[in-house]
Amino acid sequence: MNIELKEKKEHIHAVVRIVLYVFLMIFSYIFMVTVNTGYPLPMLLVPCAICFSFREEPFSSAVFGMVCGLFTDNACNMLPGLNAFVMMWLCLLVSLFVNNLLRRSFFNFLLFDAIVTAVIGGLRYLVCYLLPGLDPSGSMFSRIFIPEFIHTNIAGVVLFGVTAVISKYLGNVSEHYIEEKSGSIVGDR
Amino acid sequence: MRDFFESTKFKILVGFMALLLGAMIYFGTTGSYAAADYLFDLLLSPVKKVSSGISEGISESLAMLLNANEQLKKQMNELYSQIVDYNEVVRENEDLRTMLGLSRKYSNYEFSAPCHVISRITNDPYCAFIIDMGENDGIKKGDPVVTESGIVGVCDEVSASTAVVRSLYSPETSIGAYTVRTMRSGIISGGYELSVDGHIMLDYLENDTDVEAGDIVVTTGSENFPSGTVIGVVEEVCGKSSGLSKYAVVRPVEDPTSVSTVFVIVNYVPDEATLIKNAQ
Repeated sequence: MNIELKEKKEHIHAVVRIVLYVFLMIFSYIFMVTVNTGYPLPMLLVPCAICFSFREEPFSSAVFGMVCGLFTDNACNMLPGLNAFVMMWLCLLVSLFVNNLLRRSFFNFLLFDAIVTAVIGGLRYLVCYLLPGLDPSGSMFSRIFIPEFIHTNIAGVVLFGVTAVISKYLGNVSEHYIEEKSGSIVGDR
Repeated sequence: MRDFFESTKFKILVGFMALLLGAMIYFGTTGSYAAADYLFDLLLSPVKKVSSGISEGISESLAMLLNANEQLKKQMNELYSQIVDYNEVVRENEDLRTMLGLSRKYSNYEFSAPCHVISRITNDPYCAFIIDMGENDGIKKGDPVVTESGIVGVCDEVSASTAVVRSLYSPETSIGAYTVRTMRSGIISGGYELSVDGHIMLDYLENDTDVEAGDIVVTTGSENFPSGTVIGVVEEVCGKSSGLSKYAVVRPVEDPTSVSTVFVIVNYVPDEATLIKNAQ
């Protein structure tokens, strides 16, 4: 294929992909602020940002994480910028790890998703409820934050599947593996 | 990886970090997120416009493709819109009737137009929610939020077009109240342990107080809070662990998790009885 045409196609794919991710982010935000089940809801914006970081370059991941963080701040009525600040750096780290050191495997995603969800949930619990002394017995933690953590990770699995489909048909990020030294491939001379 | 930290992109991220830190310091010191809410509204309105534009575009192109069914669709759409209009009118009529009833019942109150709950604070243990009216509609921080049954909460963060309503379950809400039967007064406040079962607390009751299950609790009244508005019904009276006072467990008349339309008391002229009571 002509290189120019290939670049054009990749560019179109990238634009469509980003648009789909933005729609996913807005859907996650709307879900978080409108659904009222009486049970702790998953913080969908967190796995959404991690899925993006898992598939994209570090700079765009950090920016997407920051925007997701701002939406999370608004959804949780928290200090504007707090979650944005934390998520920007966490998404940058995830993307740097995945692009340079680790494989884009499902288990690595689960690990990162769990860590980031725990950090974001823990920060909210600490700032909004623990430090102001609103939860001396810890019941709020066990009744809201632990179920929220579990629900978010379950929802993360679904979002990982959705983003895997997006990446399969529209992705252009190639996988990088560190070649292992193997006697069967590299023979002794 | 090292290249990234030396690149211009990383410097831009550091700039974003400084911007976020500045925003946090600003909002943290002012203690109000109204400006951020306003910016958010500003940010989301183009998104809403774009999404509605896309959906309109899709429906138009579909209509062109399905030319044969155009007439029937048109008729159906007209009927649908009539049904939607009818339901909207019925709902508006009900809201206005409720408002009229409230205005007749409380002549010295000035109510806002019916406010609809547009979103809820995610996983908030105290069930705070956001209504579709704000400063532009005369709503101020601290204004009481009511339904025809009674009080739901208090306006907390008010931006130009929205307001966050803090429910009675929140420990930050404290309202002077008394029981109608025995005129025993206390302070209504919330807490997580009680809110799990949908209860609030009438605190600081004397040990020899004559309050029992079934007593109706209403507001005492203050400068911006009308007196005699129903809060809830006493379910249980308990002694405090210190033994110095008692508290009553109250079930609010309105559940903040299920309300969809509320009214805000935007202006209130205290009657003479309240003024005398407050002066004492």
